[in-house]
Amino acid sequence: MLWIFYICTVSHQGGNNMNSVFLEEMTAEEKRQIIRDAGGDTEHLLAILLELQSHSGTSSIDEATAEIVADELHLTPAHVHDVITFYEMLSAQPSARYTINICKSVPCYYAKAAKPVSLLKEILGISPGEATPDGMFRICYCSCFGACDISPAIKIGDEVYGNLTLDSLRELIDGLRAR
Amino acid sequence: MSKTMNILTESAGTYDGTSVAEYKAHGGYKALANVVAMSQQEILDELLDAQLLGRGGAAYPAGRKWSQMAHIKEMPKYIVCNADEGEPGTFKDRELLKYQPLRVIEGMTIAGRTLNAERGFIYIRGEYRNIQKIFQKAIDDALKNGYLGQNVMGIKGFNYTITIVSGAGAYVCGENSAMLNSIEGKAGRPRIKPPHLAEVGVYSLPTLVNNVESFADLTVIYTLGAARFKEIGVETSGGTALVAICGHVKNPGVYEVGLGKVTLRDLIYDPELGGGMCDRPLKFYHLGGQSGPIGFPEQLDTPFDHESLKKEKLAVGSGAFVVMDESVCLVDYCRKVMEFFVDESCGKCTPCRIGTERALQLLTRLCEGQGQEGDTDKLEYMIGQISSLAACGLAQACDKAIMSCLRHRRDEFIAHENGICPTLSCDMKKHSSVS
Repeated sequence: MLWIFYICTVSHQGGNNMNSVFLEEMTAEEKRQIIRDAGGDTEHLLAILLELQSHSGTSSIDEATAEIVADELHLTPAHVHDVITFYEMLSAQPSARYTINICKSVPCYYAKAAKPVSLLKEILGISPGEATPDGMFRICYCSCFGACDISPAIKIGDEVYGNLTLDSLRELIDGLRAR
Repeated sequence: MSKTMNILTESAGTYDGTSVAEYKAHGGYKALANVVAMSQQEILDELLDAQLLGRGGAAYPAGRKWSQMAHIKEMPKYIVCNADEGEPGTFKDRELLKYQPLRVIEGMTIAGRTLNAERGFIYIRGEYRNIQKIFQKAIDDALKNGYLGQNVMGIKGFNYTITIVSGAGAYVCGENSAMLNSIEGKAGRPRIKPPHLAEVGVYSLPTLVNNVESFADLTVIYTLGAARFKEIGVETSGGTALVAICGHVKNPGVYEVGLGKVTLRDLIYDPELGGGMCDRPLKFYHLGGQSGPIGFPEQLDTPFDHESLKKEKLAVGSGAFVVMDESVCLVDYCRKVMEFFVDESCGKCTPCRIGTERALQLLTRLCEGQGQEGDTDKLEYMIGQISSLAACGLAQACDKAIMSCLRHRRDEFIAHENGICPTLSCDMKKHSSVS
């Protein structure tokens, strides 16, 4: 039974590891340090890009940063761009500080609980594909991220939030705004 | 008697799974200690005898895969653990990676020892970045305690390291050849096969790819022995399976059951498992994610093991078990399934890139009341063509769910051709404009 208990409580880790120093304010050397810390070779390319993106403040990787990655890993900028545009979690287009990913796969889509789309519309006044005017939040749909046991679920950065209610979601959004 | 088991999941979550000392206190590294005393042939024979069928989805016998790898002379060889579980409804590997990382590491080390590989990769999906950190902690502790690195367990020449490779949100990377490209730092597009990955894998060298749960199962096989492993399951498929139950059931979660020891009915209704339906009666259940088949109430007494399910044209697949009640329209559900394949198609081969799009258009038409006579036949023909012509497993399996619906509930599709949704959940424009 303990096993079940742990499963039910796993995905409610609080906190968010978004950093407050953004890429555009970083020097090339600081970016190179992030690249090396995240593995520094082609096997770690995706880990490097995800790490850089988490520092971006715009949920994206700009061209200058991508070029530094290419240089550090001895790849062509085109190779890095191919990778950034191929993977769903990476983006070359700046969007918002926080991207709110709503799972649209079947377990969440047909979940009986409150619908994140309508809750977020009520709180933020935007629909999937849109961003708040202050550039803080953008909502988009994504595929299953493995939180079907607490559906409907959303993901912001690396954190997953499930079993949502209007109040819990409002609290979450307020917390991110205050950060 | 309890229907759940805790062999693979023994004590999981009750101790620090990243600590070698604690893992050993809970029976860890006994399997590896046994393995290092065995010859390669003994190890392979034990695995063949255990009838471990791969837990990633394809259910390929692990013993056969390993024996093929052992016969390949070219060196070095690589071990890859596929932890990219992206099948919607699947979250069983998440539990192992999070609470039992050292069990997975031990399994991968057994593979390295057996096949004389010195490097292992574990490809963990980008959505599990937090879990990657936990797993890295476990790797670091194994290195510190001499269970990874140079001269593992003090045995000269037994060198083995594991590197975590992150995914970044591409379902297609769960396809093994796409995953290997992704490990090499490329876009995760599948490779044309043959040559097979066993011979031409990571960096074009021989590579063994198994699922997280398959690797974890090795620790059970080499601790309890193949005979006991088969007893836990059935003669044709040994061991336990982790099932991720979700949807309209009272107790969604991950459960460990002995293969063949429970029925599909148990999975949904047993109080220790799914706990029954939430508020409406069962309509159907989807096994193994989007690329798996759909089952119906009349098949509920089928035992949950590979062979019994196969007879019913069902499958264990990735361990996903999505339960849906009567409020869900089957055609609408299939539309959502096809939408998933459209989104996740990498675009490399035409049958998948364009075919899934056309199938989605047809399903959308049916759901919107714009269906035409013969659409069901057309859909069946179309998805049959996609699955037989597509280059990789992604679209080769895109027909599974719809085909099982057409076999058992064709009438619901025919009704949609006539602008009628029996569950009244589709937006029937044609129907409403007539009335």
